[in-house]
Amino acid sequence: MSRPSANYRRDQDAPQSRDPKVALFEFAHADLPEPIRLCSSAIEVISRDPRTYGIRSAWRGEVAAYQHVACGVTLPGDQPDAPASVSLTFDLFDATLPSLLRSFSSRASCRVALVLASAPDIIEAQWGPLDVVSAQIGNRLAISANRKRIEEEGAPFLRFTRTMFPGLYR
Amino acid sequence: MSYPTFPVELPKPQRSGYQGQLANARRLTTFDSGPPKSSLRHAMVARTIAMTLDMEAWQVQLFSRFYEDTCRFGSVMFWMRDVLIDGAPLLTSEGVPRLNSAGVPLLASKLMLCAWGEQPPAFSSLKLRRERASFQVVEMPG
Repeated sequence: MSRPSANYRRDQDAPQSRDPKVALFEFAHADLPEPIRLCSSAIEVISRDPRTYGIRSAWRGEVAAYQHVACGVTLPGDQPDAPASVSLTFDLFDATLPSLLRSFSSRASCRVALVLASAPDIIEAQWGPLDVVSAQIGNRLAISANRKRIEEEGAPFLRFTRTMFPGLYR
Repeated sequence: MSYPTFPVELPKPQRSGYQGQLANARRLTTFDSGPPKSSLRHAMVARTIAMTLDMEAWQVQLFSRFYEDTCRFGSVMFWMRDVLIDGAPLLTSEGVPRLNSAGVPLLASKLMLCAWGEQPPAFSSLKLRRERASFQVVEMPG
């Protein structure tokens, strides 16, 4: 993981932080024609009618709109033994959502990036591709993504990066 | 999909019950001692406006039909004129209304996209055929 930019560190240390930090999510799956792009803050207007908010970023090559959804976000931590994992928690407002989540059988992949709202193209940190491994469906809906299953031993094998094998980098 | 417009036949909100407040866009962390730390979370911030409307009986029916049918019991956003700005004359730096070449004052206009507030409209103070509706709208930013 690279070191965050000077602006990011300055804003992080400031007692009055005035530059929102935005987490970008990209969910991709073979059944999806276009990846689902979500973000954690409302920074600009994405569409007027219907009115949606979010942020535009050139994170994945070309500029794309990431839509703001009201959800709780847990970003990957930096614990030495734990693999990178991320979870999104939604209020379960619609009974059709669980059936949608149960409608596919192969895993979706999830990429996460952290940017400043003032410079959405400069990636401060990113994780992924992570596997969307579980969705806990109660009165809330928690979708969590984890690192790739190393136990499955696919070919070609995974790269020994820090997010994949954190125990190697103590 | 386009949003419905608040009926123009309904009166302006009353001066007394009008209250506007911006939503909080910061996360504020307070400590046992020392100054608090705040961090901004969003750049698009909604504004909640509480208003009361004094209406005749036919206007109450029109309002109820707009809320229940057009807005599906408050689930559809709508356009509404901002009474503080819409229709106010544009002023010059001396405070005189700015006129066009025909001598007609230029007026400001502002439509706001609104969502219905947390509580459904409440009707009270029934007087003969007049009724007062109090409700909140949330002005969507941008």
